[in-house]
Amino acid sequence: MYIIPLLIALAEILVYPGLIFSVVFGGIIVWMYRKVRARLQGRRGPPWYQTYADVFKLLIKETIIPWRAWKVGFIAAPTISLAALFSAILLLPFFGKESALSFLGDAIVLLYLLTLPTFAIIFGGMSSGSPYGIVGSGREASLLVWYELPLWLSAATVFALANSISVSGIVEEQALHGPFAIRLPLAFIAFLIAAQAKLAKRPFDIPHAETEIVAGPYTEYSGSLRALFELSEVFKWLAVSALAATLFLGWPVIGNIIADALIFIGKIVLFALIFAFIDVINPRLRIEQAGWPLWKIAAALALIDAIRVCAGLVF
Amino acid sequence: MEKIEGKVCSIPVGPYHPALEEIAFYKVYVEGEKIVDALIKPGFNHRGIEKLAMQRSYRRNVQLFERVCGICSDAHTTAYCVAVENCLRIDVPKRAQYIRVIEHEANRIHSHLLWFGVAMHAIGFDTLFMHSWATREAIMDVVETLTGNRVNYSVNTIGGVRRDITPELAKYIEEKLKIVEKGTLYLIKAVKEDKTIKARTSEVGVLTKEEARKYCVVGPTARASGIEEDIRKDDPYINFEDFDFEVCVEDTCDVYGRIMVRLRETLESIKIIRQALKNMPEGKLIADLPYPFPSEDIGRAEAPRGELIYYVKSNYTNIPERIKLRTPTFVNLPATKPMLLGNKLADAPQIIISIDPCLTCNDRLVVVDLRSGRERTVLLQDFIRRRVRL
Repeated sequence: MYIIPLLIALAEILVYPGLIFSVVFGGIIVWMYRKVRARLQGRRGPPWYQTYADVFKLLIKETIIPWRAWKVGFIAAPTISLAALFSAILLLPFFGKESALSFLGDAIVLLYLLTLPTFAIIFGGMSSGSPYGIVGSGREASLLVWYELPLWLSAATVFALANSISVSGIVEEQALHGPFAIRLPLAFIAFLIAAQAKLAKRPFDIPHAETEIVAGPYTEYSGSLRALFELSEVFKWLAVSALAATLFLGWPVIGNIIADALIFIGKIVLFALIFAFIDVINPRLRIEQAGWPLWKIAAALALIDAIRVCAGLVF
Repeated sequence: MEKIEGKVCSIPVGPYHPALEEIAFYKVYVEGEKIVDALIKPGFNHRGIEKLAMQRSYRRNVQLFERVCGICSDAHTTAYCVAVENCLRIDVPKRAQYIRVIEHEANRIHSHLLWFGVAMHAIGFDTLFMHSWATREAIMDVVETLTGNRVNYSVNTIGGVRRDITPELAKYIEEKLKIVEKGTLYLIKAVKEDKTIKARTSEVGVLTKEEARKYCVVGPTARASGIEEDIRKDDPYINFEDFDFEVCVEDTCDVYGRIMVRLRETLESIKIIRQALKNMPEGKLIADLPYPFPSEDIGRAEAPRGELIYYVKSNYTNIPERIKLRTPTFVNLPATKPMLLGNKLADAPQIIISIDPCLTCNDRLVVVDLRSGRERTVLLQDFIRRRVRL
């Protein structure tokens, strides 16, 4: 009987943690970010359905493709970005220890899939034919160079300590011996800084600094193509927060699938709030200033922990 | 992409741009992120205010000049009233002058706090932007209770003011000033202590003292370049000689200096309002007005953006024969070019904002003859002649 595994797979892709759940929960995370931001600034903030309303409105608007744009690239970019993030969500351990899809080495594929949207944004900005898009893409590319090093270095430290390159292996190791956030505090801080840059939130929202280059790579996007980018922004919040929860806060795992799933969701909310808070208390850095916290602080911190792991000094 | 020559690429900033609330067009030539050249093009908002003013009576012109600029509306009416009073030799009662001082300084506080918010928004610090505007609400309440309006106060009039300040109102202003002072001190502390603000603003948009003198900049832009000039001290109008205040000068010559000058000036303005409330003399609110006679004079005022000049020429009618105004942005705007050169594109909005441009006050009509490449300003006579021909 193939029908039951097929139904389960369909449910995983469409309901949890797939399409319906990630859109709804991701929308709530983005709403939380906006609400926290508004409350800390003395404003009221949007209602809870604002994200869905935004995406829905964009979907019914006309999509304009500028005549200067390279059509194929312009349309492909948001699609690639969304597809990559959607696949990444299926690889994240939304059932406590297990993810919807799992195989040996899925942690590395996960990190690759989370890098892909950035390339899609660069690609889209470059093919849009707008000067703002090109400058924004250039900034996105330089930021990518800055933040990928600390991100991968801290992730590699985690892989080395867990002695595993699969998501379930990393979570299992933490469930047994305590979260890596405590065992590798420096790599944890490095990861948080790099993740802030990956989310392109302040102080690293340089690629789409609205006061300088309008919306950067997104400038020429409108209608449903822009809605796809908005959705991938929603998925990005979810995926990056979930990645932080997986790599550094894989503890506790109770064994009951529902309890574990709820705990994991709670952790995602926690990390999303941390990123939102950093976003509120910082102004935007200039592009060449962004290298300083990302390489000199984050990469150095991650390197110290990597050396500790290699020398066997982590307990 | 408008034009690419080698590695240089031109980026349009404005006239409709999210960072600039004012409509000017900056064509910024960049090499990568570095600005190598800039072209400044105002002229998107010609309204013919001077021509309108020459068709209305002196008193109706007060309401017109208020609408030259929405933010420094009080400075415009003050300068205009001073010009007319100088021209027609009117002695304004001292109480009226003190009330004018209070409104003038409240206007300055609100303008500087508004500017500070916009400047913080330009570097992406929306949190401080919101806090600064929340502080500004207190002074807007003062203005609203004092005059009945939030933008166009309509309180100055030729020869005096139209509204009095009662002791209860004075007490209310004192209360609100405490909130503003606390908020401003917090903003100053935030700017001084936050390392990222310093990294983004210091040594950005440098205008040296020599260049500032060369470009004849005025107001806070000049004071941030180490030039000590303030019309309130240099040529006291509306009884500013009675007040004890400091001219805030910074010698850092950069955007950081301009931020600090404006924030410190806000504190000085609070000081001036307190003195005015304390030493308010008794007396009439408005002087007896004479019949107009042929004469001419100027009125100067220190608007929040710098020196503001009104020229008035009168004749035997109740309509001015000629009115000319020169706004501070008109002299400050060309100075943005040396400020921009050599900086990064990321800093362009905050450099342009750092002079607090107010282009609606500024725009005059300039015609460029493309065939000969000559530029000339259209004079009044040409304007009338063309209209007749049309």
